[in-house]
Formats: sequence, structure tokens, C-alpha cells
Amino acid sequence: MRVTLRTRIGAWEIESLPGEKILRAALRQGVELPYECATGTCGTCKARLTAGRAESAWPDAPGGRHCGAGELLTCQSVALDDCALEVDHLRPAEAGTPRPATLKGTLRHPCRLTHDVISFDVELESRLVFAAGQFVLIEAPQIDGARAYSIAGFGRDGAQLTLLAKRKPGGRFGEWLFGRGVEGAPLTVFGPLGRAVFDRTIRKNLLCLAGGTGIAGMVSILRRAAAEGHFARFDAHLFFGVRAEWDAFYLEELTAIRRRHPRRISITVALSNEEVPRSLIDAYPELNFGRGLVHEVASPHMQGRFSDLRAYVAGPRPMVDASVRLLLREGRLPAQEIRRDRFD
Amino acid sequence: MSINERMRVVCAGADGCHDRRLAGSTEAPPSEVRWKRLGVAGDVPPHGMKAFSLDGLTVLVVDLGNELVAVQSLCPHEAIPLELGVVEGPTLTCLEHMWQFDVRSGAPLGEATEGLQTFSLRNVDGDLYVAVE
Repeated sequence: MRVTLRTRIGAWEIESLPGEKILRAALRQGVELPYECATGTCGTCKARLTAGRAESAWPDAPGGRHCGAGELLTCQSVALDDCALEVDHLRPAEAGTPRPATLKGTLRHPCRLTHDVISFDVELESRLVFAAGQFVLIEAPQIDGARAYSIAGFGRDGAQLTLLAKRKPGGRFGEWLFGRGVEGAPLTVFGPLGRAVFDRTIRKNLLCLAGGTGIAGMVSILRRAAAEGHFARFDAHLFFGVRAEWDAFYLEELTAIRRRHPRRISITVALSNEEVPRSLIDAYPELNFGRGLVHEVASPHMQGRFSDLRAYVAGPRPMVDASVRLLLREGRLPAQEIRRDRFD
Repeated sequence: MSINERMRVVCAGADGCHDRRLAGSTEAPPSEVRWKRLGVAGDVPPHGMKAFSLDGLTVLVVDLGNELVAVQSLCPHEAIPLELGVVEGPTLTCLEHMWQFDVRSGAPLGEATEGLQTFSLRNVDGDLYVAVE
């Protein structure tokens, strides 16, 4: 189908394949329609249908509350005929990030990290080039809809990605991942996506605020920063929030990251629901521990350290909003230095 | 002390007609302006903001420290209540999509493509009045 995309300043024509979401068709052809979560929850991708027919594959998507009559979410909608859509403006991707594409992959090495967090690898048909902090959309057989996962790690020069997933009550994808027989399952991957990225031109200290599986992108960012020699001149502060000790994971990986630059990188694990057990402190001497929500634990530590800062925030929505408040009010960070991933 | 001297006026309208009127100008204001009581200035948290409703109109009052200003209460992007956002100095941020505005003028900042309507606001002995036409 031919889809015409209009903004205030111009129009572009793209092709969309049968059943292909309009947002993905646009992004892979270089037309940077606005988006944030790309999975139907945030409403950022809202567009007005001005000609032809398109329909949402998920009419009940939460982001649809932002849509009025004649409007739809491009991340969920498919062109039924040639059609035309209007958005206010395009949103250029971060400079240097590659154009996303669809790839086939195979699920490998599912590994439970906690009672509700699982890590798994995606072996891709070809390597994916991506910027640290970006995410991909994953689709699995028999499960409707894509899920977004930040890339936590990679192997084989980008032909294998490591992702982290949380099992949520009633969540079909998480239930499937935690079940039997997922090793070897075919997956469809679309990406890379997202603007919460690190690149070597950033000349600032880094602050990473992560809740739960939001740690995935932060691990990529800190490893990439270390590899690029960022810590010769700059510092990083990571605050990783989980509810209790039995929810914690990746502590060995975080220790390894800190070991590379112990004077430059500080990593604090925040437990929101219980006092920090002595055994945890003793087991991980290179990590700090604190009691409270991520932003509560970060605030005293970051006093006087907010200048020349690039901040990354990822996690559940209330955690992200509370962290962004801290950054805007106490930190007085400009909005463009706050990069966030919100999963709902 | 005259009522004019007691009033602390913040006028953010483009025409400035209220300023001219209070300065004793002989020009007639372009349209009839009525001042309606919005609420109590003390209800606005220091360096914070509070939404007030008045006859179906909701207005957000922001405390900038040295003055109070009034703007539309919903973000022009997706109609999210701006009271849920963050104000730091004169910059108001809507947390939904990080649109930002200068609340003194309503001007959009950064990625915001539309600004905020502003309202003339008066504080008379702790009561807030907004100009409605």
C-alpha cells in the first residue's frame, strides 16, 4: 500500500507491506514519524487519517486515549488501502543511529534471573548495528503484538542480542517466556529504536536511574562508555531500584562494570520494600546499597553533582516520572539531557 | 491606599491593556473585562502550582517565588493536566511527552510546538482574581 505522510512542512510517500504497522514502514524507509514506546501505551505516535482506510490491530491500546475522532496510533495501525496521514512534525532520530529494519531471529538461552525476570538471547539472521541504550520490538508466534526490550548486551558482533524481560501478572509474553519449550522459537525483531542513547560525542558525566528491567539499557550504555574511553575524563552514577533482595539481579555484571573504573563509576542498588540485608552488602563490596525508591536514594548522593550531566531514566512509569521530577527540580537539567524509556 | 495600589498585578496578555488602564491611561480598554474570584493565593504551594476551576474554566496558577502567574491548565499537546508536571523557575514541564513552556509568557520551549494561553491575574489581599471576557 502507498501511504502518504504529511507534516506542516512537507509530505513523504512510503510503501507499507500487507499487515505492516505504519510506524515501522515509515521508520524503515527513513521517514521519522514520532514515537516513544512503539507498543501502544504512550500515545506519542498519534496521527490523523486524512484519506483512505487504516485500522488499529489493538483498538484497546492504552495510548489510544490520546486519539480523537479520525486519529490513530501509527505503531498499532495497518493501512488497508492507499491512505494518507498527518502528524504535526517528524522527530529525527539521534544522529548516527541506524535506520531500523525487520529481522528474523531465534530465541536462545532463556535464563531465569529472579522469580519474575528472565534473560534471553536472540540469534539474528544478520548482525544488528545499534547504539547503546536502544531497544527492539520482539514478536513471537501465537502472541499478538510486539513487546519492546532494551538491548542489554550483544555477541557475535551484533548477530546475537541479550534482552531482559519481566513477567507481569496476566502478561502473555512473560508467561510464555517462563514456560517450557521456548528455546529455538522463531522471533521477529524490528529495530533498533529509541533515543536514550550513548555515543562518544557526549562530553558529560552520566547519571543512570533504572527500575527493574530498566537496567538493561544502562548496562549497554556503561559498557559502551567504558569501551569508548569515556571514563578517562567523566564520571557515571548508576542507581538501580528493585523491591527487595530476592528481586535483585545482574549484581555480578554491575560489579564487573564498576571494576573497570572504580574511581569513576559508582553503582548503588536501592531496595524500596525492605531494609538492606547485611549479607547483600557483604556479598557485593563494590556496590553501594540504600533503602528507598530510586530517586529518593539518588537525591542525597547527587547533590552538587548535577552539572554537566546527561541522565538516562528507564523503568515503570511512576519511577520514571519521580526521577524526572528530581532531575528537573533539584538537578535543573535541560530537558534534552534527560533521556527516558518508560515501559507500562 | 487605593485599590490599585493594593493590587499586585501580573499581566501577561499580549495587548497590555490592563497595564495601561491601571497607569491612568485615558484609552478605553478594547473589551469589557471582568475579574472573577478564582480562589485563595495561599492554596498555591510555594514554588509550586495549583489548578483552580471557575465556571467550567480551569486555570493553573504557578508560584514563581516573586509573583503568581496563570496559564491554561491542560497541555496543548495531549490535554494532560499540567498540574501533574514539574515547575522549576519559570519553566513548566509536562511529564507526558516533556513539552516545556515559559509560564511567564506561555511561550513553548524546546520541542513544544504550541504555547500556553495566559490569563491576567490579580492578588487582592490573598484572594486571586482572573480576568475573563
